Amino acid sequence: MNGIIFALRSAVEDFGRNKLRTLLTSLGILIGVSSVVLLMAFGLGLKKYIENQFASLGTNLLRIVPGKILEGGSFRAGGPASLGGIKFDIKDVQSLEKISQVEYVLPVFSKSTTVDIGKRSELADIYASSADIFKGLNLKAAYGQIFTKSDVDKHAKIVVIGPKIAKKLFMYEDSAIGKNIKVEGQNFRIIGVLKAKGGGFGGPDLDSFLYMPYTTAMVFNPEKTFIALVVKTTDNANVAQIKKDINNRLLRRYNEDNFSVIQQEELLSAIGQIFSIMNLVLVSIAAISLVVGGVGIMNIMYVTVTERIKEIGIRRAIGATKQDILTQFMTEAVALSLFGGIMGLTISFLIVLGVQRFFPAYIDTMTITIALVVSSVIGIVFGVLPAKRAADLSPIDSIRYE
Amino acid sequence: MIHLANVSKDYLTDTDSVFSALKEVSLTIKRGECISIVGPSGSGKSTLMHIIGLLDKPTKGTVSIEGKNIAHLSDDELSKLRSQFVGFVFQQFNLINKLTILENVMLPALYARKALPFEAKSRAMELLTRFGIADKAKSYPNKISGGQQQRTAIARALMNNPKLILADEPTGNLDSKTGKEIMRLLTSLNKKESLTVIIVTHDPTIASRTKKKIHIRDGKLV
Repeated sequence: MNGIIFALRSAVEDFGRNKLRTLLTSLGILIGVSSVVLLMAFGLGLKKYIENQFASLGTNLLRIVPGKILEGGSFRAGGPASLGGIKFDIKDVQSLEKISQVEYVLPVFSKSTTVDIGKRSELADIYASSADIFKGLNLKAAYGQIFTKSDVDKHAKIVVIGPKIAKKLFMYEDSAIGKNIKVEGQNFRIIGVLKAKGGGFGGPDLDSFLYMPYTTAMVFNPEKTFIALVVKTTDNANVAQIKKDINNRLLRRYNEDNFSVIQQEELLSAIGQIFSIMNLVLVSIAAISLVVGGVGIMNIMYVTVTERIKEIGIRRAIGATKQDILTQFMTEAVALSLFGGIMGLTISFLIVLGVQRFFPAYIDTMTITIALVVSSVIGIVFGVLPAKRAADLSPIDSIRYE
Repeated sequence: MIHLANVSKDYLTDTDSVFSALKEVSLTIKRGECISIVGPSGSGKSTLMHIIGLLDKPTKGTVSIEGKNIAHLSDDELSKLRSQFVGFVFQQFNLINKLTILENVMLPALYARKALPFEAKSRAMELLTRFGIADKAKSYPNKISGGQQQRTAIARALMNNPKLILADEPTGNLDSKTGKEIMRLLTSLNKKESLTVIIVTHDPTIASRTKKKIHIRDGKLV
């Protein structure tokens, strides 16, 4: 133990004497560690960002979609969903609304189409539902108003538009109010522009939609079907029971494989899983640079051993064992690598700190631990061969070495 | 204390022929002796010293230290024995330049592998004081004179309280006045502390300062 502390101290003093060499050698580790740490920090940030987005979409929501989503969140490949699957209709909405602890059921129809205001036309998504959609998704009008239940009942030819599409079409969001907009040749009056919600990252981009009553949207939807249903439960509802009730009711009309009831958390875990895998792949690629850094350390350690053959001989003559020499050079390699790791970590911290204004990247203790452990391990792995060479030198040849 | 029986040491040369540095050397060194091993360069005196100092093993013959045959000792056991039994003094001083004088003197204690009956730092300072270089404790070897470096090396050799001091041309890199001082120091260690001292040299005047002389030529004692 005493020996390691002493070796560490003399290693640090050595680094002080060879500042440039130390810096250049640990540069490889520095770059490797910072790329790994930054990727992990951005991955964590992305995950947090998506979670926040989902949280802002509203809580206590169950989504019913065609096709089967398996436990753990992955879609079954080649399942009925990919063959077109089923579509829901207003009977399903009415049936599900009867379940206790269900506040309301939103039918969802959406379609990508072209909208125009005379000269200017844009691609946009129609999002048709009932008046409760604004409550369910936490959407509020910034200008004008949202549509109501009576608008839905009247099949009113009105739309509420997201702020992004409003800006694209009218430059200023407020100037959209009262204007007419043509959707597939039909005229609709814009009665409101929503407050910006952000998103479009992993989840739907709620700011780009045209919201209209589902009754009105039937003109684009001759089959009068819905691509999804959203069930809003009361607070503190027994979600498991409700899921079971929904299943039972839908099974009367559809096969078990034809629909899925998804809780937001499940969707989140599915997306989280995809991002974790992507992140793991990226981190693994970045880890290659750590190996390159390790080779750099090995190279310089071989040089150091050759430079210090005489010193090794002296130490052996006055009683150092092979193990003592091994420990000394291993300590140096690990110190060198750890130095690179700590520098890389510091630089990553600064970058993350700078980026946090725009993106919620963050470094957790796990990342710090991994960075430190990995750089120590690299020092050990790439230091062992040069150190072994030093230890195996014959005392007599080394002390004679000039 | 040290006994060599028919010790030979062969080296393979670059041309693959065998060169015998020592040929059937037998000698006994008793505790408390002060001996010089004298011979011209290439006579095998350094090889002899390395074998006595446990840095090298003979090709043939036996070396026993206090009755123990070293042929059966592992590398670790030899290192341990070196650390406890021998103190080296070299012609080139062989101090580690990046360590301070004090650290150089303390270094053997680091490798002692046993509880020492003294505190390393105070013992090192005591030795430096005794050799009149205590004020250089924090200096580095290349900042002090040759005589001071050799004193440091002797202090280092004494650090672990060895039984034997092996000095290889200890005055070879020093002017004659300083050389004499170093010789006086080494012989006084023998007289005052009854340490066994072996001095390897090619210089007959140096050798004349020891009680016993062993002459070596072409790998044989003469």
